[in-house]
Amino acid sequence: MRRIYHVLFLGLLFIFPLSLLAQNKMLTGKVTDVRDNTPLPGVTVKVKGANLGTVTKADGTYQLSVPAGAGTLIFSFIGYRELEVPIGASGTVDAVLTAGNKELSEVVVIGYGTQVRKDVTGSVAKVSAKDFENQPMPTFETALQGRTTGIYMNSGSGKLGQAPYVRIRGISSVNAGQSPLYVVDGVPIVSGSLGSADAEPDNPLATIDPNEIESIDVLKDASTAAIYGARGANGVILVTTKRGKIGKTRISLNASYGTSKAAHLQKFLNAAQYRELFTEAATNAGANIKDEFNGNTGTTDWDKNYDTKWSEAGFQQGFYNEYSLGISGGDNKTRFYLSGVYNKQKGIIVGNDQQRIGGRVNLEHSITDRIRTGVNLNLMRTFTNRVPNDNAFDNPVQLNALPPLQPLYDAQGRYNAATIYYNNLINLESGVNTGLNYTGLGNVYFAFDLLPGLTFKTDYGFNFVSFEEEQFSGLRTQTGGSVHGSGYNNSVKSMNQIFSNTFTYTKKFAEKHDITALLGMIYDDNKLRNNDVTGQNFPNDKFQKIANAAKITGGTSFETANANVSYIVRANYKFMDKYLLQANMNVNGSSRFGTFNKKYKYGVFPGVQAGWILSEENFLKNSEAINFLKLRVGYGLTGNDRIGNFDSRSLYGSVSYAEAVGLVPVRLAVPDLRWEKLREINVGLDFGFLKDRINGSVDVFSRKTLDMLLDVQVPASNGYTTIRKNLGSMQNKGVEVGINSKNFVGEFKWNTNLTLTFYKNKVLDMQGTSINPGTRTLGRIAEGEPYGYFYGVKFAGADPQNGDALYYDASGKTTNKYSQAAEQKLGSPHPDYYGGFGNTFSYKGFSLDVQTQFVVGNKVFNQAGMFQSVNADYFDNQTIDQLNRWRKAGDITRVPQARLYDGNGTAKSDRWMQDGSFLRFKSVNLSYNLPRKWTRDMRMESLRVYVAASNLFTITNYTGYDPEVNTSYLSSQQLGHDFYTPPQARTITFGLNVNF
Amino acid sequence: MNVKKYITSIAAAAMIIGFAGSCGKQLDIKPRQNIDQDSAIRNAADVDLMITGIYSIMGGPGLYGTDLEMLPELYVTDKNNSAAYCGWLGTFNDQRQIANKTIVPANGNITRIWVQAYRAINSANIVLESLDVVSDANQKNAFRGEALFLRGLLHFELVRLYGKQWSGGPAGANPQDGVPLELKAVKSEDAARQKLARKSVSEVYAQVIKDLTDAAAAMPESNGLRANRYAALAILARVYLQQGDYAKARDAANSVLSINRYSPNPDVLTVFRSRNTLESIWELQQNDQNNAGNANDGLATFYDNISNGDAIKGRADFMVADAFKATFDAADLRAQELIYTGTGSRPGTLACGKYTEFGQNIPLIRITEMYLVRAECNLRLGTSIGDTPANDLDQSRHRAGLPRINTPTANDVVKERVFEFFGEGLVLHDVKRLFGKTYGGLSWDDNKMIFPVPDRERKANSALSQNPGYPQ
Repeated sequence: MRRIYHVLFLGLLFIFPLSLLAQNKMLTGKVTDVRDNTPLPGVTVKVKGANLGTVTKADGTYQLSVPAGAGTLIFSFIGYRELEVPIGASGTVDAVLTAGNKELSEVVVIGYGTQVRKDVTGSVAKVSAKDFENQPMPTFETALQGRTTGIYMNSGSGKLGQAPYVRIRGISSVNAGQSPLYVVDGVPIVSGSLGSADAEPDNPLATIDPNEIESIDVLKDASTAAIYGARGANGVILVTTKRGKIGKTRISLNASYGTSKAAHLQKFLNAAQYRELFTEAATNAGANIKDEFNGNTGTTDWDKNYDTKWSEAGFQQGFYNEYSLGISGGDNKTRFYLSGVYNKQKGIIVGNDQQRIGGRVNLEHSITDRIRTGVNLNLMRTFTNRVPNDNAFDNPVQLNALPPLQPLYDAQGRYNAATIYYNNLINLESGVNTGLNYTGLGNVYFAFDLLPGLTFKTDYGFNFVSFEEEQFSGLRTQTGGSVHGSGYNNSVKSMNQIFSNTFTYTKKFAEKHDITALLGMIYDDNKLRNNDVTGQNFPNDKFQKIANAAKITGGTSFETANANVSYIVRANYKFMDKYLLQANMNVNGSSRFGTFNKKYKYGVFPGVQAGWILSEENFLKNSEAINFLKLRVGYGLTGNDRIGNFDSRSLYGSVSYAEAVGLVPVRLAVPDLRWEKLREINVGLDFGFLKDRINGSVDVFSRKTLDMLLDVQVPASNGYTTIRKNLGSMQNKGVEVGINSKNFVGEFKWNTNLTLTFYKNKVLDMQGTSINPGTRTLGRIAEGEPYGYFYGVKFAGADPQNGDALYYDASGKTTNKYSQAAEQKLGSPHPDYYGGFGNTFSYKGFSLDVQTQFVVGNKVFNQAGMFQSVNADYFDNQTIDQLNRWRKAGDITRVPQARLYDGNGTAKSDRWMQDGSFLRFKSVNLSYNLPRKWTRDMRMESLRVYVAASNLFTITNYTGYDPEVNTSYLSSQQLGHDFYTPPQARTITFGLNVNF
Repeated sequence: MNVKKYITSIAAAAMIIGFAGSCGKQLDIKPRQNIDQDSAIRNAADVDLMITGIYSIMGGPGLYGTDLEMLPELYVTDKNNSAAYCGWLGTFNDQRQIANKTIVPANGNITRIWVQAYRAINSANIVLESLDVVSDANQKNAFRGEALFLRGLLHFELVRLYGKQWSGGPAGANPQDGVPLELKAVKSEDAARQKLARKSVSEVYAQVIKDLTDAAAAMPESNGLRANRYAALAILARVYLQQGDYAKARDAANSVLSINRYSPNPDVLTVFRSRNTLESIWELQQNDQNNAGNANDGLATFYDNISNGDAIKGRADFMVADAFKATFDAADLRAQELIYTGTGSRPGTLACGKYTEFGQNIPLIRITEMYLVRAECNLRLGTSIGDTPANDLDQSRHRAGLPRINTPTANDVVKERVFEFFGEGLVLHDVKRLFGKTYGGLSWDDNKMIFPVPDRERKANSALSQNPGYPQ
């Protein structure tokens, strides 16, 4: 590989002197818009066939010195049709540009380059700032939800900054990472949780300010994503931040304020219902409820008269507040974009709030006509008061398990500590659980135009994250009580850096042949380290720092790193503006592979694409109905290296035994561990009908993952529980449909968009092994079935004769013996289809945007049902539906007879599996632009007031908190599991947007 | 020609080429806090570290740190809110299943005992196959003995929990399923994927006795804070007793007692409040930094029911029934000092005071057990090897403030074992070996009284049979 590079640079050395050509003719002119003759600033003016050009000034004029032989100028501008004008003798060349089809002329980012939508032959989804601006979003990826095809996004929960679950085109890996690669302005960023405190995992992506994003492009298919080699298999999300534009300086100010509350709460028994049900349960079990209740709780609460709504105690009304400022502008030499944001939110879960403050500078400067440099720099501070993970007794949602008979406060007016499960509200009195994230993200580049059409770009980017966790648990808390106060500090530093050097070459030959080529070499690495310390024995709750701890009981450090080298090449060829061809390849080396055998260190990831613009052919060129039609095909191979940095090694680690130190085997590796591969074919059709009133595309894909990096379950009696091997295959097949229509285009405008994605996932081969559900989970991975399908015992309701819980056995008959029930396929957590339906209406200054999101056909398993919907088996408060328990012979019900401690129907089954389909009004935005004549008097460019709502309402049959759920404490194998997971917030904000 | 530009571009190109050339090396990143298998065991010091590693695994909550001490107590009881012995008031379902005998094969605790025990056994096998790097013959022998001891001990713990009780006396056939015997180090993928079937209970006992006997011969008399020859002999006494082989159990106990190194502490508390006292033949070492847990695991976590001002210590999940305390003699200091009325998480409930500090050591074999083994065996055999049963029995009774029994019966000794060892995981195995009944009235050989083979294990190993009474 190194040899390629040598050749490249020898080439470079020859090219430099050649590029020094003579120039001798001065042209001037003005560019205007055909609609209203207004001048167009920022239009690129280029000499055809030479690498000479400029951009128009604020008044639409330009000046350009061209060689004597130059024949034609090309004018191009985003959103307008490209125009070629011959250079006459006069020295003045004016141009009048016509707005083109916006969809087709939009610029799509494809990794180390861009393409015009019309020429795209792969599958790339895009959302732009206008789609999501001023919308309160938990994280920026939320913008993709419902608006794009092929991207399944589950927001997970209503915790602030919660990492959403994002999967592109199904699930393509079992044990290696499944989430896409995130790249901001060319820099791959840390997207996974960094912390290790016992809390909801932090989400570094939540630190990115949506206000500064210009567009989000998603590389979906393997032939496109292959340029990212071994990290492309799960798709690539490319974020481009805003740039300054030539013209007068624009200032945009935005302020919004709003409130939020839990979108839906589950219903539980009140005190009277609890007494009734539990008295019956104890009687049926031959026990005395008072003795049992008081004995187990260590209280006399059964004899008192409390009626506490514990299920509501963990929630609060939240608020949302944001101020942001953006300033952009520039001239021919220098363009700039500056922004700042202050965002403060209080969550819907007690104790949860977040504050984000930061800014960005994007600068681009032309040193000479041929040399440009630029810097993009972002700094952000995000401070969060965190929520524990769903599985912790500290999770405020788990308060719903507390019996209503137990009081909220004790005799001294403090939160009551004598509850059967920990009353985690005590954490609010004397606990600290914070995360402080400082992110620096940026890049610096130089671009040299070496020859007409040939540009060399060298770019250094970095993503530095410092994350500090601090926890303190006071004397009355569960964690701190035992050890007289407990404190934990953790400091994590993550550094990504990327150094890329690329050549791009564009040329048009003989009027018919368009060529674009890319050649490059990229090095990137990530280093991660942390130090933490635990202290115990604090004087009292007023002292909360580790410095105050009498005993330091723990301290450790961690360090890991990985590196990648990529050699990339891509070539595009377009013939007569209708036949498109693209080939690309990434030869990718990784530090994670090749420990025993160097040949496994590198992987080769190619992609080829072809497109045919049928509407350019004579038989369609003059069609009234069809104004655009393109067929495209892509085939590519990507890789997945998202395993532990040292998983290809057999490792021993150190352990402690009191004061002594010892050695234990940590993992057993197989010598030939190598890349997981993903092969995909994509066929797509883009269309524009009825003068572009209807636009859209349809994609059909078939993806196959090979040589999966699988954690094969081995008998633990051999000393290890899993071995990672390249084994087996899996496929995802699907169809994506996206349609935009302009229903009304006059003064009253109405646009509609519909996205629809179908996919089917199937595990093809695991050599007969399977990955099985855990104690309280249903997700299983086995051959012939979808990834994570629900597998277990099927519940058959209560025996009408005696109230026993019934299950189905292998022959399909019912049995009251769980041990005789048969494990079987219960359902799938994958949706049959999902998508979004959106409508935008505008009339004069008013605009209404309603975006919905729907998921249909998936199953959700509420694991918490094993405690909260078990006909009073233990003292957890029960969901209201448990009142329908069996009571006498002949009762037909799904709820078995209540029997304290008896385990009647408590064993894991599909009793708590439900349909998770929903339709959600994801975002609604109503805005009013004040008329121009009013704003001009106020010296404003524009003034807009708006009301924005997120998750306004949801239609579902799911009886839990929220059907859009994915508890984060379980492994990725467990899809669609709900475990005391808080619902999403319904947020309504009022805002004001002013432009100067 | 612009010379300056030319030079600049050469410099830039040279820089980048140089960088590209060095990238191959950049991809060679080695772990900083773990080491590769090949370089892990090179000399005697490394072997020594491996052995300490086994103790560390055994100190985890899945083995002696919690489960092997506490779960047998919950298993032998009547129900979670016990009316007769000790119980489980905690909200954790896995332990409650054990107390209520509603165990499912996916039970987390039952799974982790299996996983952790075999993990430790594999480390012991690695030690046994790495001894060539030890040049000193004595040291080599000592390491060999210690690894055999640990392997034998853990196979014994497994067979008596997952296999049906040995019966028919020392010569009993015992063809019932025991557990897989792991006797080779697993270093390759093939080895890690092998599917070993369960050996019969008699085969497992035979191997356990062989390992422990060899260990006792090879281990040093003193071994710092790790197990020594007498720990091996004491465990051997336990194994023989479990088989009903009273003569061998007596002789093994006698050989520990006869060296006069260990003696009961003057009072009942000291062995739990101080570290490595004369009473302990072998203790699990813990400290504030390294222990089985102080939040969701660890004996003190579950046993403690203590308040200290506002702070509440322990979960008070493990309770002692009032009725059980009432079975103690009124004068018994163990009832007075090792059972207390809780003031913490469950005020008013009785709690076991043996484990109160998270960092305290856990005595694994105490000399009082050897006295009681010798006494019981002598009584059953009608002998008085070593000392009279009356004297031996008096060792634990006397310091508990109880009067001497001059003509004790075997049953007196068995009862004494309950008073002496409640909360420490011995009573369950006594009920089984004596073919008795649990506090809940279940017979020693009831299907509910052996653990199921863990679900994950059967799914990974098709050669494993399930115990009767569990889903097959």
